[in-house]
Amino acid sequence: MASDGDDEQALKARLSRLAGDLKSARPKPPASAPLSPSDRSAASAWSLAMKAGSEFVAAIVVGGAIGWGLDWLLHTRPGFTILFFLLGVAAGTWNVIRATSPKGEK
Amino acid sequence: MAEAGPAINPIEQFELSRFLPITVGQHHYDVSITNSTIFMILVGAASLWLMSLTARGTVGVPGRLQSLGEMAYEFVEGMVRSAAGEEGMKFFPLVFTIFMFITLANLIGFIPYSFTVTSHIIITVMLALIVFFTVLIYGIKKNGLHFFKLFVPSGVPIYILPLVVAIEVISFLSRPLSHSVRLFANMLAGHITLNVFGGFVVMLLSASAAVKVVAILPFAMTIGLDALELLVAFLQAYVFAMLTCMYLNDALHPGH
Repeated sequence: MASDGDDEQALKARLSRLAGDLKSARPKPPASAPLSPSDRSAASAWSLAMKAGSEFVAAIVVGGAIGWGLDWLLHTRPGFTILFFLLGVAAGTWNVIRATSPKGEK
Repeated sequence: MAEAGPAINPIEQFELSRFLPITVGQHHYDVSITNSTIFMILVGAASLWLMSLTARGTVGVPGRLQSLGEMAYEFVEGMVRSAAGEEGMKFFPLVFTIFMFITLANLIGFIPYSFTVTSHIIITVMLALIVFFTVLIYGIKKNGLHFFKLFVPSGVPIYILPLVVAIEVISFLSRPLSHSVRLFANMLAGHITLNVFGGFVVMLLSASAAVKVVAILPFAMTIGLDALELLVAFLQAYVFAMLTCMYLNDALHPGH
């Protein structure tokens, strides 16, 4: 990967040149501000609900699986399964909090 | 289940069938061309066709298909810019490819007798793992050990730090799971529901004349569900691409 840095430089230069061209051609800069909660439509509210729900479940499943795997390795069943299941619940809750709180503040 | 009427199997639509059986190696590793493969090629061809139409047509007033392609481009561009910043545009090709693949796969799955590629978890898992490893490898390559600050939030007292780090690591590892299962489950459940309600129509129509009238109810339901599924098909592609951007943002700017 010797030419990787060069490629990246070339790409960056090309992108900035094109961005300059675009900026002069465009009447106004693109809205780069993240969506504020007020202009969230029903569809994106729904997508947020799906995101939060699945991330909550996924964290619990992964936490439980890690604990189960550790128990299997170390023959300590059910110690780690219980511990990591609880950590998974915490991680899931944290995911939901993060997904539902406005961007910028965590 | 139905003894007299035609048997309806809602799962049948997801069955893979070998179109062109191919095996490689001594262990006869199966790499056959299946109906899934055919539809993946179709999805790829459809997106190539749409985007080449868009790229070629440099007319001042774009046609319908050209503006569709332009809308898709601008939609994803705005998404990448807002979620991953200007630096994230480096990953625009990846995000755009994923978005087009999922959108078109979901939409092509709507055509009767077609196959929904995204209703198989192996496809969505591979997509999610591509994103996961891109984030991991690029994040470590760009930021070095600084990347792991992602798991160490600032301003946390030292005595609860191990707990927080464990939670953050689990949260990070759970991403590919939630990322893939969400898309897969939505497409699977949606198509099963449509099939079940469509099956009710067929079953009722094959019953006695008095019962035939009732078939209008599941039929109306099917139409409503179709509209809902159309929204879900698009929404899932949007959510998948959006989360890809947010995960890539972690690789670009870890530790905040």
